[in-house]
Amino acid sequence: MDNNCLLDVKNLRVRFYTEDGAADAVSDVSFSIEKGETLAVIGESGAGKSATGMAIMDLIPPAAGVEVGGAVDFRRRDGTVVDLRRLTSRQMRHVRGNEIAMIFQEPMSSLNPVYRIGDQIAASIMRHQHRGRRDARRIAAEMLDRLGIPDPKARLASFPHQISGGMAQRVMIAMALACRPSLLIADEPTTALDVTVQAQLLDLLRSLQNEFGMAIMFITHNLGVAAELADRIVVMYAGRVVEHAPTKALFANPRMPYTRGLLASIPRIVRDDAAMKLSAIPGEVPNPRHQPRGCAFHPRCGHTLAGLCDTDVPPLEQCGPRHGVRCVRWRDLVSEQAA
Amino acid sequence: MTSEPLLAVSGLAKRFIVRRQDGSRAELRAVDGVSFTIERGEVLGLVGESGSGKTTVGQLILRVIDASAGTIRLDGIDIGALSTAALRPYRRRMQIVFQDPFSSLNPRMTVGDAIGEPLAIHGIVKNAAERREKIAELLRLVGLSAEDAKKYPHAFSGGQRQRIGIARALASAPDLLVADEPVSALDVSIQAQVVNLLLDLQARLGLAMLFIAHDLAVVEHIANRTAVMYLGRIVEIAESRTLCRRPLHPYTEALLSAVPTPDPNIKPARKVLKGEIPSPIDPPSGCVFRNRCAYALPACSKERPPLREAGGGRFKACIRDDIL
Repeated sequence: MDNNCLLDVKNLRVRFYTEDGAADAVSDVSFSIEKGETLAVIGESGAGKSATGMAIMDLIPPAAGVEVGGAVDFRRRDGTVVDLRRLTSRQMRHVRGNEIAMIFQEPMSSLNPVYRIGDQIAASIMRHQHRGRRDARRIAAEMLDRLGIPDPKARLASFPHQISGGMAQRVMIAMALACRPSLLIADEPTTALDVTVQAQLLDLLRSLQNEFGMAIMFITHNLGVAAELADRIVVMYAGRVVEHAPTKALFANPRMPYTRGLLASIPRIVRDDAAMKLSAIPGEVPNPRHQPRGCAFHPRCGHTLAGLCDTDVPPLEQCGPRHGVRCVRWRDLVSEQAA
Repeated sequence: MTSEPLLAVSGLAKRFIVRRQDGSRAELRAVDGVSFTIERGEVLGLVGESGSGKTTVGQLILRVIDASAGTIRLDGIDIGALSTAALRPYRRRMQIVFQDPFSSLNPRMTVGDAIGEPLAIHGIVKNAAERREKIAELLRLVGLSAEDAKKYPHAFSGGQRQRIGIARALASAPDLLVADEPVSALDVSIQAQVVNLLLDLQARLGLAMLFIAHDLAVVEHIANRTAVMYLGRIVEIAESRTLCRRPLHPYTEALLSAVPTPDPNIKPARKVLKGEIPSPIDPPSGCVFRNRCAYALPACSKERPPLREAGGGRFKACIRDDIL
């Protein structure tokens, strides 16, 4: 692992054994995140993006019928590189919440309704930074202040039901950042919020990242949010990485037909007289239990060739600088486009 | 005959009595003096954030709940004043499509029964053969097949369920469809399919629609005109494109600038709104947006700004003409 690399995920797999047989929520997912970088993981429901985040954090409960495989190399604060998958659960507890923090889509259900907000933030500071209660509460108040929460002292005494959704997500961010993690995994943190509150939080995350220098893995289905925030983007479909590239390259030269379809199907606020119909991707997002053979996108793709796309899973090929695509026809499509 | 709009809503209000945290009673104005019209075959978008009252407006129009004040005229008839029995023929002409296709279909009813129910209630079909034929026709209309009538909702994806919800809403051949966030629970690639279906049906059947959503970009694609709501009031109405290109109300401007642009080359020139939507129990005096507005003057707290004509068929509820 080179010196700038913070997290290196290799061949990650999350497999569920169901009555209908094995289903891979995540298959063979590899990507890396550099120190201080923002990586967006985008995809639709069932793409495996949340399962990837949960697997990195070792939050998928060890149960019969679930199997997590692969390696997750992480550079710790002291510079050592460890494979998070090989840590004991005790060792992992020192990393989780301390060096890697996570925030979720539903801030309200992530907070414990029967504890005051101050106690919930302080608990993580006391645990990981070995501070006393008074110290921890002071740090908690400072974090809330930093996050633009008015009257932070009074808020520490509030219960979760007394605050709004936007405020609850700020509290979650305060809790996540209190220990100054080097990586924040944000799983659709603004999806449940209104756009104006989302805009506030995205601005806030950006400035906190500048201040604290942490890396962010931002899981989202919203391409607009990814375009604004990310340095690089990983596109997932049906449990696999189907394309990854620096943000500008992905939007300028999407290579995977799925990425192109996704970009074309988002409604934009048009400033010219473009056609009103949206260009939709036909068909449905595949069910993880019944993945199509070959390329999982082939039944919905306009460029499918029988006997080629529906036989083997295509390899992830390099198609540009730091740009990878999982499509056996990407070269044909580039020349078709040029012609 | 005068050219009466299909739907004319005037001074519509809904007040709820709630208890404050200290136990005292208070009045919550969910909808506070809303007026607009929808012409035959027109799509009116209604946008706003959570708590703006947009869903309540939809429910009031359909008389799912009764208004505290104001009139709702369908073809000139004040349906707000009708008894439940007298209302029934009008109910047939107004239908709703809900946000969540997972909770809006009865899991124990086949798709055919779900679509057949309004056919029976409104006496649209005479016998079983006719009913079967009508259900098949509706399913085909929304891009499903006649065989799907025998299946249960669990066999369908979210996008397909939303199609079923649309087929059910169209069963009684309504003139007006209230679509309450019909695509916001769907994946991006599926969202576009359903938006296109609604556009297509609207054009083919000449449907009028009240399209309620929080996503301005979706609304701009589907609605002829758009009304923006904030804290129970309409702050601006205009032709959708004009509204998005040149908003006249400071809230519309802020809402537009908050939408993330799917283009990494455009750095957002963002006007981030401060604070959050105030409680509708004790809203600010005068203009309810003034405490978050970058252009507020002392005069804004004095009286409620009326929704007034701002030229070119546009309306805004803002006292300032020297901005935007």
